[in-house]
Amino acid sequence: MAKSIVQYVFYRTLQSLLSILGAIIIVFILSRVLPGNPAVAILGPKATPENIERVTREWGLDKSYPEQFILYISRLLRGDLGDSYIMGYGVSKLIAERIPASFELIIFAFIISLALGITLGALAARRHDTKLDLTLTSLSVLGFSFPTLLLGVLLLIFFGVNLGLPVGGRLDPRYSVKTYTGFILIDTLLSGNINAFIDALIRIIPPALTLAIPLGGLLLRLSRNSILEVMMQDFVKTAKMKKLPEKVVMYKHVIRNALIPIITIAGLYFAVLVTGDIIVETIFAWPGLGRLVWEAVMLRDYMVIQGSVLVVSIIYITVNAIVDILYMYIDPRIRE
Amino acid sequence: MSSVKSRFFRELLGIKRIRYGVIILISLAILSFFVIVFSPFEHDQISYNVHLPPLSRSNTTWPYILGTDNLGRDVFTRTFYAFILDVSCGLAIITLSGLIGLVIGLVSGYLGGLVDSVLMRIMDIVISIPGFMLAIAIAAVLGSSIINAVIAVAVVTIPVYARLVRGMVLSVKESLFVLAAREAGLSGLRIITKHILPHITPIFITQATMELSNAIIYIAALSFIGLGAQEPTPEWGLMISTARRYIREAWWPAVFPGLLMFLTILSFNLIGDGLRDYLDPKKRLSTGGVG
Repeated sequence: MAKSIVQYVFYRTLQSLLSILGAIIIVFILSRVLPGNPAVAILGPKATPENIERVTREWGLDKSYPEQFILYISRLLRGDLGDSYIMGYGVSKLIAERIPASFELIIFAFIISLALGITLGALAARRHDTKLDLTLTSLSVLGFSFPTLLLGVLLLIFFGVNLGLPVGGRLDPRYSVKTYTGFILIDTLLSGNINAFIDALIRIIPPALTLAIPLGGLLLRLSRNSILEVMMQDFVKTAKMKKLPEKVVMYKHVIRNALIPIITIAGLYFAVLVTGDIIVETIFAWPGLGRLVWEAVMLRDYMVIQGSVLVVSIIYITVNAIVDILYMYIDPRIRE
Repeated sequence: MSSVKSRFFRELLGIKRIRYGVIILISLAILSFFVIVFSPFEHDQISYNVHLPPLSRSNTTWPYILGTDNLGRDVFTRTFYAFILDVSCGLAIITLSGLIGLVIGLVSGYLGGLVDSVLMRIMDIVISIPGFMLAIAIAAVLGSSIINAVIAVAVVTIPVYARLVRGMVLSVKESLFVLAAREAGLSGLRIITKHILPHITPIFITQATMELSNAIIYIAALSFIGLGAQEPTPEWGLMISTARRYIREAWWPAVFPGLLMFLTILSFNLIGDGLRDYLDPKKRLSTGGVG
């Protein structure tokens, strides 16, 4: 064994930190190559001479680029992403307010896709090469080649127009729920408001399905192949020959081993969900980080766009690193 | 030579997925050609016939096959104009990023050393940022227009090709025919263009085909959030974005552009998949090259 687990974690963390630094450098360069005066771009329509002077001082825009970068980094380290002069708040505050909504949606979608993908994938594997298998695998291909834009619109029409259910937003404004966790499904339950909980649940399903169906399709095919592969291995054949009940073979031997690759790939796609989220939040008026990006684009608020890009990138890089480390922890073969 | 080529194309079309992909694409292309030439409606022609359902007739000779949108424009005409626009944007993106990525990959792989390390570290950084987020950041800096969106997406996808090409160059570089060419005193440029490049081309083209559908998805997504095409340009993402606001009155202006986008992406994916299997010798042996 070449590397110990501690070494691996150390190198992987270092690598992620370098990637994050790289992302910061790219965002910094982009914000400084803006056509015209960067201060004007930061301020947008509120660019009065006094404001321009203030922003120039605040970000050291009259100094050299290395000095500007040091100032930029030192502000970032304090969690300060600057102020949005257009939305009238600190960018960090705006983003922090929106993150719980996005996380709730993404986690909910992730659970749906795992549940759907693995159950149906296991079903397809057990009945492999039957009509059911063919149907399920074809559906999975259809699922993950569906563009998010089309899927979102179709689900919006189905839930909102055909079924006449409330869509858009997280909760009907007539319910006011105290914030405990920022996750509305949990908050409504904690405050004991069942009607609000049902409303929130109805509203989260269409956007969550839009995110979950493509991933679920991918996981279905992956689980099917992974489970089939394990089923062909000697230890499973032995277990079958020992006349163990099929259920025991399936759950104790097959699925447990097949889960390793499924979970890791699912983990990697968790990060991809973060990106697809922007489209979904825009379609369903879901007040999360993705919707914030859209609002910022509409208002030409470059500070918010820049801050969101940075935050999403950092989340993405971190999740990828955690998944890699977990994978290595579960499957010792890669350590070599 | 031409008979070899035509046999090659016949063999490719023999693969089911490639055949279906090509059939769908050619039909869509022919249809959009007819729409552009013969449609009585202009793509930006506003009328009083707002939100007419599909197949409804107005005082025109042609019915509104897919209905009209919020400004009374013909959805059928716009959707097929958008096909031309979106596919052209996709082609522009893969050409731009493919060529730049190819050069970076060739230089990086062939020269090695410091140049290689620096170029590849830059590629690593770009790839570690979620592509769509980076495209948003770039497009926002450049300003909202379809051309800027194309540039943004192209920049984001450069590393895909650069890494692919570099990897292939590294594996070919030490092979006997390249060493022989070097011994024979051929220049580096000549070795790259005459000996290394032909080896890389098939896999490169396959990758580009696969990336084409991603490029189209990105362009539509950027336009959807307001960073790409602007009204009244017929573009799928923008059409869906506008139609979303009137979804309770009319579903057709949102659904049909999405469906055509789906068909287009599907056919590029089919072709890309088929090409990949065709080039993968292991799979070719098992299926005899005909899927």
